[in-house]
Amino acid sequence: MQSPPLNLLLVEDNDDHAELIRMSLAKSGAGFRVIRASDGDAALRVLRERRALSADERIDLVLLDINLPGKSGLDVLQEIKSDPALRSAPVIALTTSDAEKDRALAYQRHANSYLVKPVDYDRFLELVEDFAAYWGRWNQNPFR
Amino acid sequence: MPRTSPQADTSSRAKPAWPAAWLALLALLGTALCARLEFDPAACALAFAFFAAAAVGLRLIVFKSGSVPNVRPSEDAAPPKVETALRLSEERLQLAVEGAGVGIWDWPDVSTDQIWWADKTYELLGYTPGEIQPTISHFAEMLHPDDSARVIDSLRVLKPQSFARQSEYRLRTKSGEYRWFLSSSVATLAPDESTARVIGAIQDVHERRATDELLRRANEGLRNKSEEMEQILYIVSHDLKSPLVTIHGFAHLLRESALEGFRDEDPLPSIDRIAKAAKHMGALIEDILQFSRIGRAPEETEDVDLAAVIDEQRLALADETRLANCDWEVRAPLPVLRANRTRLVQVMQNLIGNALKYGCDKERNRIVIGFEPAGPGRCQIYVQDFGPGIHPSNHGRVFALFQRLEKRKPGNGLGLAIVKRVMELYQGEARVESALGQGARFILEFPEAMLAAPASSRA
Repeated sequence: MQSPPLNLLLVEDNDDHAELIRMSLAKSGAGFRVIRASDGDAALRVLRERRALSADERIDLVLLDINLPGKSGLDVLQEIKSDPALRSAPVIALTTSDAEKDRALAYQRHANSYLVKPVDYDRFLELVEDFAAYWGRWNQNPFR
Repeated sequence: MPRTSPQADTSSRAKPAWPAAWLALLALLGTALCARLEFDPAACALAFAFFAAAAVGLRLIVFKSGSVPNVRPSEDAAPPKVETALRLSEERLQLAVEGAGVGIWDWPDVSTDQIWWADKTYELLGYTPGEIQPTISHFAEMLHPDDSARVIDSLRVLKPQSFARQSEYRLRTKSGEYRWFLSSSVATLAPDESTARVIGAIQDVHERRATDELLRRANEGLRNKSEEMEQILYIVSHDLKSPLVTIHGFAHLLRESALEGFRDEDPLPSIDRIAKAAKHMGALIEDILQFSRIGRAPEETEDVDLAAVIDEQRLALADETRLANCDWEVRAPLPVLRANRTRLVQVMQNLIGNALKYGCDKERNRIVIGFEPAGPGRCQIYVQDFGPGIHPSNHGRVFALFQRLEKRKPGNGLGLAIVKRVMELYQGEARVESALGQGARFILEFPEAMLAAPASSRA
């Protein structure tokens, strides 16, 4: 992959999980640049601020926890997908909840994918690797 | 179930001119009532036979009352054998009607206001037979205002030859009390096919309605329980799993570092993360268990001095109080309560802890704890803060299971749900009075009967 690294916005309130995701991404060798926001408002702020910057600085991909303090992840998702300036960025829900209700609501709000954080770390790593392998090529999409 | 009884056949043959509609009508009524009373099939069949046979009898009664037009007076011509059969039938009808506790009514001509009641109908409504002259207007007045329109409308659109129409409504009895009645009625046609006559029967079903209401409430309780259960499952799927992800992940990373002899990594932060996650998980499990245990077994009560409980909390919450920079204002007198000590401590700790956590956003803060009467036979404890307050639209949500308005502060959304559940257990109620920017006053209201001694002046 010769293209520049993708800017990934990680929206995660749990410090431990943010750290685990960051380390797993590093291990996957996908070369994401990870920017973290720990709540929904911060996430939307980062997205909008970077929208105004050069293509290198814009957020390419959002990894979103659904269970956030204050504004919920589903609300953040809805706001991103209803904003013409933001909605082109794929949003992947990565969350602990495997409740059918949450999954359905996320897809209704146009999440691009819904991934459940596995408790088992080996599977967690696998999941992040798969995610990196698939979405890491997002910037090679000619339709982007 | 036999469609006709031998007696009915005999009567029909003896007097073929008698309207078959009468037989059908009453048989129908009898069957409907029996079915409604949930008799076993044999009893239904028996009652059916009674009703069908006794159709003749009723015809006599109605005729004797003199209020029914279109009935041919013809019995004087009947041979003695038939007369005996008629008398028998009449007796049977009366016994059957009395036994079933059914009050018959007849609206012989729907273009008039006059109706006829059987003796039992008067009795069911608290009158002695003949005490009042029943009319449709009077009947309409007796109907409960909530049932009136529905019943009057349905009376007018009764279709002949249809099954007996059944409905339930409340009627005001002589004493002024409204009671529930089950009504079954059928109509007959005029030559122009409009409804000519309506006849029916009422039955007091007040006790059954009361039982239905109890059942409905019990069902609602069960539904709430199952919703609660679903919320608990949801929380297990999220909040309990979350610390496990941390524990598993960092244990794995620690292991990798250990294999490399911790060359370039300090293991302590990872160990701390694991310990913190485990502690959080333990606390959550403990709270869920506590919540589910409330009210499961009868709880022992004793005399508990509220002032002493608050003193204990002052010690238990010393750190939180210092952090919140908060003064406690405990207003005497406080009562001694006949309550379960653990529950009272739990409830007070939750409310005071919340006031310290969420209600102390100023430089210096203050909470007020007190006790006061609250309407007839009720009294209340209150914990008041002067913090940011809670918008009225969220007042219900704060007591709901796993609902957290402020997720930035530690907590798991069980505290106030526990308070609410405990108060319900003691026929009490937990609520909040608050508006944004106005602070919050959490109130525990309960029956005065829980007071073990007059409020003490100690605070």
